[in-house]
Amino acid sequence: MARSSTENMITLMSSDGEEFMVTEKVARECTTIRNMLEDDCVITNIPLPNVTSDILSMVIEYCMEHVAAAEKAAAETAEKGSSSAPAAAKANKDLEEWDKAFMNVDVYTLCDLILAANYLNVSGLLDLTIQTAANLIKGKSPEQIRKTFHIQNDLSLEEEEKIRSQTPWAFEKSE
Amino acid sequence: MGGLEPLQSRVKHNLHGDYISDLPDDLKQEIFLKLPIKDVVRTSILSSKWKDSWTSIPTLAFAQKSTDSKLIKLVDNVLMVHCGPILNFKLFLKHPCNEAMGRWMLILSRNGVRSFDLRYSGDEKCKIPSRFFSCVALEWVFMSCCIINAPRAFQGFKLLRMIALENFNLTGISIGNLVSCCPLLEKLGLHKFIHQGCLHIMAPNLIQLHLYGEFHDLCIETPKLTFGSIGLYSRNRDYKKSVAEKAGKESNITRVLGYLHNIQKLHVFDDFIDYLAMGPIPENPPTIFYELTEINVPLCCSVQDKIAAAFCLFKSAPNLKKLRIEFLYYGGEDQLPAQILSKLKATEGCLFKCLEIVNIVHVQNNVLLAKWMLEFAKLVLNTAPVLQKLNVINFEDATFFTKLECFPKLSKKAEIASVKNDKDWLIM
Repeated sequence: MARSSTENMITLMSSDGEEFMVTEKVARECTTIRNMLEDDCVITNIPLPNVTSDILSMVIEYCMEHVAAAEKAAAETAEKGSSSAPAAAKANKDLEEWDKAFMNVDVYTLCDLILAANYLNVSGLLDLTIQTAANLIKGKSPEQIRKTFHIQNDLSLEEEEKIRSQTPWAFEKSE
Repeated sequence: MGGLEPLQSRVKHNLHGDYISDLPDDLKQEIFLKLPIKDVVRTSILSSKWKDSWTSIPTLAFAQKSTDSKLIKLVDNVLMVHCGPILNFKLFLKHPCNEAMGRWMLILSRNGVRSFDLRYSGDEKCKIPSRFFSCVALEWVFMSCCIINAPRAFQGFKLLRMIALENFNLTGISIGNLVSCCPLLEKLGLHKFIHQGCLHIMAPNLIQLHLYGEFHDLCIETPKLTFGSIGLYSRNRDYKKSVAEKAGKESNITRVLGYLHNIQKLHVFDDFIDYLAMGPIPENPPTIFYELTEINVPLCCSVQDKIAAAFCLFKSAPNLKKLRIEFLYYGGEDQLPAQILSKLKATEGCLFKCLEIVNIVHVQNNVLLAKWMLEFAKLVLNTAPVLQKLNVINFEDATFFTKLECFPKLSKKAEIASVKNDKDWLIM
């Protein structure tokens, strides 16, 4: 579907001064921006001092993909009168695959995306990034987790021993 | 805006930095929410920044994988080390932990627990300690397979919005008392229970009601109810006796459902249609359900009263858009469907005026049932002016569809489809 030329464009400005032109619909995927637009409808330029350009471009990419998927589903429903279940299931699966590929990032980018998704309030992206971080922790040993996230272990042996004795079951090998 | 210092330093990643440890507590807690408790607690040994991170999480969930004693020790241990409010507590049990439950409930009641979720699957029901009733901050409750003993002095859950109980015995107070003590209740689910006498559901804010159990009579005072799913299961049909005297003058449809002026979706299961069929069923009932657009009802093709009751529901709902009917046969009178139907549709013109989607569901193999389904489909195709879809569920008889295609359709748009199952219909 061709975008109508009358659609409002909004400029988002990253912390390092880069400008991104997006449609209002894409910008509205961020609840934080949506609330700003609802408070003041003539706003067209939004500075985002908490988000760098590389992260902001990824957030926009995510929002655009999800807006496009929703538009496609809506258009199909309008065309056929009702959405067919197998087609909807396939579209969902495609989007899931896209999300999965999108999450193929290093842990630094992942953490920045979590912060940005939280700050801009993009619930789908926040859930996706949080789940990705959780997957990197689930079932892993403390050593593996430290290595993945570059966490420096600054606990003394005594402190470690104390933590282990407080909740010994948590450090037993999985059955 | 603009008051915050731009985080320029983040543009080039410090490749040895540890970002995750510096995430704000609320985001770390979001990560914990996606992890089993063992993984959550194990993060305490990662570094000093993680040492106490988990101990203030507001949601605790435990699933029993090992023996009872191991699980009890684990929950005890977590509750001891945890500090700060526990707002959500989930427990998936295989065996009842009656004794431990008492002390856990004590801790939860002191912590202002808001949601309590107990999924239990065992032979022996698990006992819910009366301490449960002192968790006055509860907003959301789900409990399965349990014996609940309420103290006489129970003052009510003033903040409760949703409660679902499954396979339960309630002692100390009646179900009706429990419900009417929760003034904000919006969702109520009661499954697999036995209630002697009349079940009173008085809930001024109730929006969704799911009932499936054994009761003798029903009284619903829920002016805001929009979704009702009611099933009656009765081994001895005791409801026949206790309703008989009351139902003398009025039909149960108007007596019991008559005040549900806002209901939009109504699902009727099992013997509840038999219960509704008691008392004189009016041929031209008053319009009660202006908002009702969706009905799911069984049609017991061997009992005329039950068919009449179902039609009485249709006639009382002039704006009905979606209809799902399961065709059932229990033996008994073998009446010709065409005759009965022609008598029932008497109030022609208004029946099925707004009907758009019909699902006719084949449940049992029976020659008479196939005839009934055919006659009913014919009636719908003939009389529903805006019908879009007639779905035949779980029945692939070719001659059936050939016959179906021959019937004249009042709605030009009407399509006939064969569908394997329509389980999604039952999800709200």
